[in-house]
Amino acid sequence: MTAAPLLSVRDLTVSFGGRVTAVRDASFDVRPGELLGVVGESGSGKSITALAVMGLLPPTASVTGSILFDGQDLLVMPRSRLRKLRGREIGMIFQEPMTSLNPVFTIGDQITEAILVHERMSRKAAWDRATELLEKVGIPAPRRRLQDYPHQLSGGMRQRVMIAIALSSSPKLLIADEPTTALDVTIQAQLLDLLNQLREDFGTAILLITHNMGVMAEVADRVVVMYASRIVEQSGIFDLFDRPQHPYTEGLLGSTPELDVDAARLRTIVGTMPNPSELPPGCLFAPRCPKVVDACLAAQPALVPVAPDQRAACILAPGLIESTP
Amino acid sequence: MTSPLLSVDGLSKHFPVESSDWLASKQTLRAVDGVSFTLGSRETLGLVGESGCGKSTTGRLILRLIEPTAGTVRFDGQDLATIPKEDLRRLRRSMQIIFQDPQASLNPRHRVEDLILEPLYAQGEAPSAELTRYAGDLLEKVGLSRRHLSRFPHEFSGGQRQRIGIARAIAPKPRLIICDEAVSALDVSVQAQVINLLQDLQDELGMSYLFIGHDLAVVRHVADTMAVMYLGRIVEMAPKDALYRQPMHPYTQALLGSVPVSHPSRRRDRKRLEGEIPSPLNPPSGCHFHPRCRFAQSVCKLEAPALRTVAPGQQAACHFAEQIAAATP
Repeated sequence: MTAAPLLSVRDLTVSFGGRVTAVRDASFDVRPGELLGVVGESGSGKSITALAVMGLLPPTASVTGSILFDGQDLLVMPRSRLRKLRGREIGMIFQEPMTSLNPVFTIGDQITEAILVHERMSRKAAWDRATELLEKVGIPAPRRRLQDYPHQLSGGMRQRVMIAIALSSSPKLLIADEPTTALDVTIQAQLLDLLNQLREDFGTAILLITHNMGVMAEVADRVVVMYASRIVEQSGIFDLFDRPQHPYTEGLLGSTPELDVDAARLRTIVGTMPNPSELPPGCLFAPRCPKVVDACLAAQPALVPVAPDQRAACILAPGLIESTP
Repeated sequence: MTSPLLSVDGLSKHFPVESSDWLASKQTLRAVDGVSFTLGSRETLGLVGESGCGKSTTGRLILRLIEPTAGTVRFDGQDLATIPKEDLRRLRRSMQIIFQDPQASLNPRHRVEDLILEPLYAQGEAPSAELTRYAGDLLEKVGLSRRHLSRFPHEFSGGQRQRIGIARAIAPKPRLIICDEAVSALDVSVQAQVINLLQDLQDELGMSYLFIGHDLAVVRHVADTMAVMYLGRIVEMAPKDALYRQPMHPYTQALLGSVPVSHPSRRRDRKRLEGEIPSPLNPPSGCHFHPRCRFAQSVCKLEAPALRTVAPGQQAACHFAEQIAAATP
């Protein structure tokens, strides 16, 4: 049942200037056609993880571990080959599409440019393909829209254009970093529907970075939860909501107000995320954890299997305790 | 029945907009267009809507941070437009606001003590040992420590800065606080802490909140009553449970249907709202929502529906609210 992973990240560690480590020992897989969500709060390392996979970290970052895409390690690949792979096999969309689009060229110019980088065809054919792509991402009157400049489009439309560009080469993997965060909720819903439809139509695997548990509940197959640079839990979406194994996951779920559930009071996580340059000893979540015991302060717990397709980095994970006689 | 603490009637703000075409006639942007509601003491009214619907402008009009084009705002029975200046000054103490971005609303050169006491200084009070003690008490009330009094805003995290903003808002012992996207910029675990704090303070101090936000789940959590705005107008207003259980306006239904589910088992195919919000410069005729409404009929293009009672305690501005509600379980 489990196919070979499309993307396989192992022991990824990213640090800046040797002092601040943004991501530690991150390991996860994206299977073909699945939607893997990476969820976490500001400073959890989720966006740095995405940038590392895309090879877009600044030169000051030191990266160790491996990132295998279709069996090839992106971290040791020559830059020219990486550039080809990116765009052709790995598409990307970001939170603010305005900063990713060039304001002085029309939408049509930018989509056809992306098409012509990866495929040889006439400009006319590329223009037709661009029209098709805009139609596919749900932009009305696509031929006319190709003549527009980015500023003439709304935020939601610009994000659709970015998705069209990312799809221009039929990538196997789409990396989306907070793609709906800047958008209104009705537009967010439209875009999440669009991502789902792309998976159905093209079998594109998606790595979706978000801070929003509701977005995960809506579209993810599996989820990686990050906290203060580490993966603390990795789980199928149903188990994550029904049987969270890490107290941070539990806290995150309890902190999220729900539209259809009445709660007099939100459960909260006390305190704030530690400063990356002053990390506590042992488990990074220990200072905020309601279940903390002495052993938590002794060593950072490893991310270990606690149930089928569920891993957690907590010595008190219920699944771990149940399975030890 | 006692009179409400805040009563807003026909509140409007029209901005003249210069057109790039000098031959064209001047256009008017109706940011807020005839908004009316009341807010009782110790109550929370949630005002929700998408970008550009006029919810933040409504908050600012109530405090007269911007001057309304039309309409009245009564606070404690007094019309804010006609009362003498001295009385308005006094009333201002009773109405405070918390903004979305504490980074932008706290002067970076001021110490926390002065930031918190600023509304009192503005009322003519002079610094004193007693006020310093009071500022320390306020910091402890919002979950910080009095040791923080001499620090500067940059020494705090986003969540802590928002707590400072809250301490400042409650300093003059207000009876109304307008929370304008007050928790929107915070991470979810910190957001939950601040929401709980706001609820505790309301229980303890008995303030009313006008809670403006775009996150329906957050607003529903804190509000007693909810009002939904679309292109400058309130389209539906109801006790929060009624609004959630039986939304009567098709826009409210669409908005609720767009909120991400709280559990993967509730994923479902939903009727999504098509298209985007039209430009407020040139809103559709009649009911502003008609071009996106799947129930629209010809009367909707011609006549703007008034906000009317459609169920006990529930008001909606839709010609066909009852039929639509009956047809959509």
